[in-house]
Amino acid sequence: MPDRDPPDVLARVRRHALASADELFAVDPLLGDPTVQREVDSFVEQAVDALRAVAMMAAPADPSAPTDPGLARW
Amino acid sequence: MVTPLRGTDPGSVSQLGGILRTTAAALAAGAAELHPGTPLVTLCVTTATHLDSMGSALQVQAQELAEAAVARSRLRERATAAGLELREWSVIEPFGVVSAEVAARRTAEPGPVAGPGRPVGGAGRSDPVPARSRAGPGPSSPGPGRRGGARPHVIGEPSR
Repeated sequence: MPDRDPPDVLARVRRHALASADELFAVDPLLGDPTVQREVDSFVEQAVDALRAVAMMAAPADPSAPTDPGLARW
Repeated sequence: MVTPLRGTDPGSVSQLGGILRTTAAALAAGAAELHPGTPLVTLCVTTATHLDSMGSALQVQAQELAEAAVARSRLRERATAAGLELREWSVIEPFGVVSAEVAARRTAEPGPVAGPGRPVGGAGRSDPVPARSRAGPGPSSPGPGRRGGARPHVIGEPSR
């Protein structure tokens, strides 16, 4: 169960996931081919969704638990 | 200086690949410290696998884009040195009247030929026929003045 996992590890996973999602959206790769460009853009969006899902699952279940500052962006 | 191919930026492609791979490594490391078999770990591992795969592919793509830009730059230099022009990936003769000497030289000397995925000029290239020879009426036609709509004379056809 997630609540048995070490809280510091969960917090780190969550922090990495959120930071990486922001980083991915900050890069605008130019691939030169419209088809490849669409595919890569679509992949990045899915990757960001997956990373946000990871962050959500790694969030502490107890509302009284200390929260990460990155949570405010959600 | 090498100009990137139109619409491409190998640096940004490589940067995205690096971010994906770094993220994959962080997710995998985090998953290794969590209890195995949980949905979170499964999601981390699956996501990390896909991110690493795509990141690797993007870094290869970035390298190929950069190499293609260098190859195109070299091709342009060779074409310019030979008095030719490069449009996209085709080497063409420039418009305008040329002297008989230049025209004869263009006919006699093999020039740089390139196409997507085709080696550029020199020994060992797969197609020794220059593009301008393929496009022209053939080696038997006179060199000077053969461009600009010159029509080859056909035996048996009444001359005009």
